[in-house]
Formats: sequence, structure tokens, C-alpha cells
Amino acid sequence: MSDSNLKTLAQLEDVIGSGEKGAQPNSIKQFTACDFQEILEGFYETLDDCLEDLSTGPQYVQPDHVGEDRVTFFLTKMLKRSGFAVERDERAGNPDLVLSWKKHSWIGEAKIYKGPAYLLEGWLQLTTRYTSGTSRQSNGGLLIYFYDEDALSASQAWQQKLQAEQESISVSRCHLDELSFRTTHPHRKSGLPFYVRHSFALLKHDPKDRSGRAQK
Amino acid sequence: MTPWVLKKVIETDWAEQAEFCAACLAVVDYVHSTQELSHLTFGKIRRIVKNETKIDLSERDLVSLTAYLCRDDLSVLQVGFEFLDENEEIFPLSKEDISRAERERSLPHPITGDMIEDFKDQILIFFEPGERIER
Repeated sequence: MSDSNLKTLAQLEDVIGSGEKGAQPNSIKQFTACDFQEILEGFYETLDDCLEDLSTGPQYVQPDHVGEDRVTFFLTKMLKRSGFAVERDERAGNPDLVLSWKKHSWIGEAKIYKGPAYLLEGWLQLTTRYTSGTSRQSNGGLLIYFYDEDALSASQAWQQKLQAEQESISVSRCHLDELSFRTTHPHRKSGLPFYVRHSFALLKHDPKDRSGRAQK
Repeated sequence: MTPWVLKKVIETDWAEQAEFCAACLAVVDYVHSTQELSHLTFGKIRRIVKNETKIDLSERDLVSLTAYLCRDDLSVLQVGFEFLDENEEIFPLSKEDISRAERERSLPHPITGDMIEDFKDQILIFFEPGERIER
């Protein structure tokens, strides 16, 4: 009967990093993390894999009357299967996505990109309504569903808007992805640092080739 | 989470992938029904699934299955680590030990204290029942 050669941490890293097509996205940190910050880094790696998956089939997640909810629905399902305890909430006034780990939570706010001013509303919801800013709730994310062209310029414009609107905010690049970035600012309620990762899902579906146009 | 609720969650998560769902449920049944279970290797989990369902999981799917069953709200499994030294002696390690070794890129030998740089080949992984498993 077949056994497994998979025994050591080095072998586990190799299998996860193999990039096997069709495999459920995973991170080595799901196995090794001993605190929420490490879990969160593994979550971001997996989230990026899921967003990449979505961007390879944008024709299935085009905007309609349900707005952000269709994309968030698929994203939640993928993240759950990857081993993250995430919940989605469609009710108005509630965060779109919540990751829980022991007593900690990460809150995600999803927004279709309609310019920096529109994203600012999502930012304010995330940082002034949905989160307490305590040490158990000191992280969040803005998930930007991008149906336009040139996400890099949009990301830069959003960074500039944030720096103009939010006092004492620091912006840094994200080592996991060039379009994403991270911010830190004092949370309005707690005064403690609040960490946000801003990430983009590229969902424009506008093929210019003949067969692509025919399938649209 | 009761065993019944746990199974319903798994069936919902994997509704479109019957084989993977059956593989997960086989491990859940085994964990629930086996007393004094403490040391499940990847190989053992693969054998359990094969015995119960005839499904032969790839190593990549085996990783996905264990990551899924370690999910915080399911907590069917939890990960454990051991250090295997050059004399084939085995020493338990905590997740904090692994995390520190990852950060510092070396692991102190549990007895001699000598720093080991290529430690990942000597870290064995196993699983045990999660904290919330009801048996």
C-alpha cells in the first residue's frame, strides 16, 4: 500500500512550493505559525494565490447587481478550503470578510474600485466602524476588486489619497506583491497601531483577440 | 463543534469535490473513533484515507487535507514537531522552537546546544487530535 515520503519540514516546504496546478493554495506558515502575526502572513500568501486564481477567470466574476458579494463569495470558499477560518457577511453595516484565529480577528473590507474617493469610504468603514483597534483586532485588509486598466496607477493614487486624508499614516511596500501595500496608523478608538494590507484583484475581462471577443 | 456539525461543515465546504470530502470525513471518523491517538504522520493519514475510501491522495492533496483539518474553527488535527538528531534520537519541539529557528535560520541542538543551520531536514512533522475534538 502506498505510504508517503513526506516526513520533514524541508519536504513539506518543497511540496507547498511546487506550484502544482489545481492544488488548493496553502502556506508553510499554516503549519509552523505560533502567533496571529505569523498566521496572518500565511493568510496573505494564500489570499494572493486565491486572488490570482480569480483573475485567471474574470469572465465569471463580472460586476452585477450583487456588487462585491459575488467575488467575496468565491474568495471565502477558496480560503475556507485552504484552511482559514473565514466568514462572509452580506448584511449592510457588517464587515465583508472576517478571519478568526483563537481570540484574534482580521477584518476585510471589499470594494469595487471606483476611484480613491470611493475607496476612502471603505477605509473609513474598516477603521472607524468594524474594528476596535485593540491588540486582538489590530489588523485589517482592503480588498480592491479592480475592473479597470492600469492597477499600478490606481494603487499609487490610492496611497496618495490616504496620505492626504489620514494623519500619521505610514505607507510601506508589501514584499508579497508589487501592487499591494501596507499602512500603519493610530486607530481612532484604541490609539494603538492599526495595520492594513491593501490588495488588488485584477478582474477586467476585455479580450481583444477574435475568439475572446466572440466569447464575451 | 459536535461531530455532526463538523461533518456538515465539511460536506458544505467540499460539496463540489466528493472525493476530497470523503477523504476528509475518513480522517475525521478515524480521529473521533480512535482512543489514545497521538502520532499521525502524513503516511499514516494517507493510509487511513486509502483504507476507508480507496482514494490515493497525492502528496500535495495530503498537505491541503491536513491544512484544512487544522483550520482553527474545525480543529480536527493540530501539528506537532520533533527533532531527529544524527544518532536517530528524537526530541520534541514546540511551535515556538520552530518559529524561532525560522527567524534565526538555525536551531540549537536540544542537548548539546550546537547551532544547526540546515535544520529543516531534521524536523519531523506529525499530527494529533485538535483541542476541540469530542470522542
